[in-house]
Amino acid sequence: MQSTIFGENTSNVAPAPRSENRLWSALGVLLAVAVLGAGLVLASTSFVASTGYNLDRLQARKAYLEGQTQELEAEVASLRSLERIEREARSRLKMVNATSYVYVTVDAVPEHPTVLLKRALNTRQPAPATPERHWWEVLSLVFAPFRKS
Amino acid sequence: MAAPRGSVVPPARLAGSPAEPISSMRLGLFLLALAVCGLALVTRVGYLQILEHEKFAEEAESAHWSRQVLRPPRGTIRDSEGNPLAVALTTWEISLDPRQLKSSVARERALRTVSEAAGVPLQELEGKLEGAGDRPVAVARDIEYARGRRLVEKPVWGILAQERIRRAYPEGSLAAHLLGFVGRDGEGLAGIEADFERELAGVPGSLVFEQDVMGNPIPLGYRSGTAPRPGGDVVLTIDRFIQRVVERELDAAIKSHKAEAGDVIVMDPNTGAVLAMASRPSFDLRQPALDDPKAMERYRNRAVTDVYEPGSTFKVITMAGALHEGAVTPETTHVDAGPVIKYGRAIDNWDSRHHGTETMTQVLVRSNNVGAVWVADRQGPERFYRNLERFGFGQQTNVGLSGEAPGSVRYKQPDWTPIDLSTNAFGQGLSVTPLQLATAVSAIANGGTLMRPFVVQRIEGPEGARSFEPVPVRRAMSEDAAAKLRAMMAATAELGSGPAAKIAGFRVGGKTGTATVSPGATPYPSDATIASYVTFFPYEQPRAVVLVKVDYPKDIPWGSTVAVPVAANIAREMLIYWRIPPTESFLVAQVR
Repeated sequence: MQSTIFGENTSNVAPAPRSENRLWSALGVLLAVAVLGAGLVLASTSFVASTGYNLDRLQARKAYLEGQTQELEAEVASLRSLERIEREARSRLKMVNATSYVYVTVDAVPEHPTVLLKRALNTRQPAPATPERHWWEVLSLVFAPFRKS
Repeated sequence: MAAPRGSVVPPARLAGSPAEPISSMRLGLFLLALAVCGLALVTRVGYLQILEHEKFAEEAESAHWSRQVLRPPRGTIRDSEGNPLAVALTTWEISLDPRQLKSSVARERALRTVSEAAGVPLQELEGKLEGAGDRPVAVARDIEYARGRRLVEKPVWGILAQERIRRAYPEGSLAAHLLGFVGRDGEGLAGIEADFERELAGVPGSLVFEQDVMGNPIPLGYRSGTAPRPGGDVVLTIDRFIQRVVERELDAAIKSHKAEAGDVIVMDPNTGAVLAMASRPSFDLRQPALDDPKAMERYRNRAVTDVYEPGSTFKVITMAGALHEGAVTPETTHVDAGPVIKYGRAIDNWDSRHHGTETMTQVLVRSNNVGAVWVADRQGPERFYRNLERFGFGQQTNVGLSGEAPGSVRYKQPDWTPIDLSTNAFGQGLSVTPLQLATAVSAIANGGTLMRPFVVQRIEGPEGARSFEPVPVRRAMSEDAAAKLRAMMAATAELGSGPAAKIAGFRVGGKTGTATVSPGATPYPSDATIASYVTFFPYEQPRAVVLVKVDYPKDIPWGSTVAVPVAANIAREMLIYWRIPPTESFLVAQVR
């Protein structure tokens, strides 16, 4: 098929040389690489920037939570204060001071004594617990006709 | 409008046609002006870039870089059971900078923001800003952390927010003198806060970063620094329950006897650990009046810093020396036939009564001055004062609190006279601190070893814990002599200290004292007395020594009436608190 440009016959126009095509291709590839590189740089910069902002945000959050922790610890301490416990005991639970004490002597100490009890015991070793009685000994005690009162 | 017919109309000037010729003079003037301006600009640039280079470089640097000191959280002060007595809170101090608030819009915005965040009325803020001049003025302090943080995250022009450390006291003003307080900059000014400042404060960190125009760090900018090291927790030997009982009883006694002041010390005689320490008058830990010089009087820990004449409580020390030296036994007798004349001065008993022949135990039970003088004479000055030295009088106890007084024993000093031996025997003419006397009586209670008193048992820092172990200073008296003296003190508490000294189910040892105050030694009048009582309990295995001292009671001067009930109430509560069982004889009697 023939084409006419401005009335001229173009069937005889010579095709572009192969070397020129290569040049254009190379330029195209270079351009693509440059665009890709620039995109990568932009993306990494953007990533670093957003990470920086995130870091700042997290540090601010950490500081905020540390401040909150301090305030909560202070609140817990004030709720556990003796003054508050006594106030609650007297006003809400209607408790009063003990006026008499009943002392019950036991010959054993708990396996895990409290700090207070440890103190009370001071350096004394726990006394050995009373050995368990066999069932027939218990029965003999129950049915014994005469027992010391 | 159309031109009138017949008039001459100049041809229209076409674009791009040659302009009218400009006069060469006007052009010359224009060029000259340009040259002058150019020269001025070059000169100014040269001045700024060369001559003022350093100044502007520094300004640019300081505007671009921010250097911050990162304050570490201050350590907590805890009682012996780990309950917090003083905790640190990070708060904000808000300031306004009048230089940045010239425009009414900026000013109104800043004032409204601070008013909402800090809860301060607008009028108050305006008043503070008016009186500030050109310098930044603090308009709100102790703002909660979360509220202050919101101001920092959304900065407003003219508002400055700074982090501050504030102390909170969950137990109120409990042990106020011992804990002390911090200043506005968070630095310890008194008590444990000051004495253990290094341990509590931690090590500040630093941060250097590039900042934007609002002072925020630039995310991609340079950032470097060191992290702060938090302060350690100081764990005291004080028990909050005992401390509370002590303060309650002391307050009640001062109120009921209209006394001027008072001190109580509770000590573990076996270790020297101070379990409670209270002084009156006291102060509000949350609002110490830092600007009032008169209030400074109240901040002194009098149990450690102030001295007094111990009066008859000191007779146990006189007796301790005599027993230790073998000068007397509890059964040794002397004859109390009346006032004794020493160097021209008559020394009489407190009640002017005399009982003839009496044992050393009776000397203590009756608190006999004549008997005490006889005991001191039997020892002689050398042995008597050597005994005081062994018990630590005239020396600091090294409890680790600042301002500790050594007391005064004048032997071998120019102003000592031989009559001082006699008056010192019953606790007059010398001065001791309450802590010294409690430590000395602890030595009697524990079998004769003088322990160094201490108030801090542990410091728990980020790098581990450091404990303070009990330190025996020296043997003050033999074990045998100490046992004899304990029995004598038990008899004294039973028979001589009044009915209030008795605690049902328990045996205790004790000695009262009623000392007259030397004129001029205190601000009190010449008839003022110091009523005191020192006791240990339980007698069989002493667990605590309690010293009570009440200054200038207005109604009754006697230690047996003023100080004994305070000590007995404290002892009663401690025995229940520690779950110490009563004596076997009491339990048997209860069952029957």
